[in-house]
Amino acid sequence: MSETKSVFEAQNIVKRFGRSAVLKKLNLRLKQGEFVSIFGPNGAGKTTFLKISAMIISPSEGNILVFGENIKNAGDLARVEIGFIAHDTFLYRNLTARENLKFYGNIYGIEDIDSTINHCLESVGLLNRAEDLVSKFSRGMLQRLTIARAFLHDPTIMFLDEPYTGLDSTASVFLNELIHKFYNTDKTGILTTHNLDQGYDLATRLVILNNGRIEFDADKDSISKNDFRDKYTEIISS
Amino acid sequence: MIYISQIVSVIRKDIIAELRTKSTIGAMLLFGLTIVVVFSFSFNLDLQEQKNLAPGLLWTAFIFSAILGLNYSFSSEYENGCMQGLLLSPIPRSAIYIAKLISNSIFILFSELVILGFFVWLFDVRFTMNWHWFVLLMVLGTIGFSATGTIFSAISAETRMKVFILPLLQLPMTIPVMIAAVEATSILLGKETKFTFDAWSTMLLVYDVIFITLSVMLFEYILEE
Repeated sequence: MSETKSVFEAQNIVKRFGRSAVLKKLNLRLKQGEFVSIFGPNGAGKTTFLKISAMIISPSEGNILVFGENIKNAGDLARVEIGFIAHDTFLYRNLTARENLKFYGNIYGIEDIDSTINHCLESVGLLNRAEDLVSKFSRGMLQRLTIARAFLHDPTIMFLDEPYTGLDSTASVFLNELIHKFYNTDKTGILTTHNLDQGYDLATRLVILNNGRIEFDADKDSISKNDFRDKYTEIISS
Repeated sequence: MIYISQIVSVIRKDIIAELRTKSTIGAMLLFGLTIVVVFSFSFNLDLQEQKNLAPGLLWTAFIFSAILGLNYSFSSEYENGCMQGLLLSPIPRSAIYIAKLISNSIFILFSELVILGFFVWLFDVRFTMNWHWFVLLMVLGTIGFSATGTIFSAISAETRMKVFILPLLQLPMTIPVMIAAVEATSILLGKETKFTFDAWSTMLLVYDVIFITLSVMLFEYILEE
């Protein structure tokens, strides 16, 4: 295993909306197999950072490198490596579950698409609802299909933006299983969350983002959950 | 090759969703046909008046129904954050534009054909040249209108006043299309104008090429902003 290989790197990321800077010279480097939980209060810049990392929006300054390649040059090639679970489902209401996944599968150029879709739907317990319109899905089923969409193209780097918020218990179980499978295969992930327990348990590395800056960054092994909780409270209340 | 397959995927997705809901084409047809029916009660055109008035009436119905359709063009992309899903995926931004342009053109052309059928029936319009030329004119005019409409629809889709903003941006930019389409239609109905049918249709073609090229180049920046 190439432990020192940098899979993802954010270099001096600044993001301004109007005159206010949401991210202020943010640096983060992830090695293969790392799973980073980013904690922070509302407005800390967590979602903005993930959207920049996933190339949905561009930074005002700074660079994102995926496998050492600047995404400004790598663009569409780098996007194939990235998966993203956000607050929105990214699903079309007037298409069936299968049609939605087929659409994204074709965009990602997935070969053997039908069996991949069946496998993904099965892994979230929706194979028997594959031909149903997404507009007929319950909230929990939508969340499970969102998880299937994100893992469909077998990304190497996964960004999860508050993935457990509003998730029902069934969907949480499916997501937990997929996340564990994901980083057991030596892949890399960034999770943002308010939930200290959940974020701590899943991570290999802990980051606290506050006012657009990284104010704490350490391996999970170097700090206990209680000490981390105290550190988080101290940073947020300072 | 994947570029074309990505374009086809977006078009297929749009067509499947439209066949299921019929919301865009339904709204365009209802609006366009209402205009034609109202005009048919207001004007009783003889052959000479037909040459003068019919092209303007017909393209008015086409243009306003098309604007209504373009208003819906990016709505589905912004529901559930689907546009973010597209931006996240490895599809070039230009492919998104070209796919939406083709989808829009297909929907607008379909509704124009139905509106044209009603117009010809209600006004008893006679083309002096082969009607195939009018189909060519419709295709060139529709592509020109969609070329700018698609990009302005992307700009206005997330604004609160999109129904107002889209025509505000779109109509001034497509004045050359409207003039060329109306003049060329007049020629097809037997009216003599300063320029030939070929000159007007060439003007439409040049407009289409310029605006599609510009839009392809600018679409990435527009999505980003």
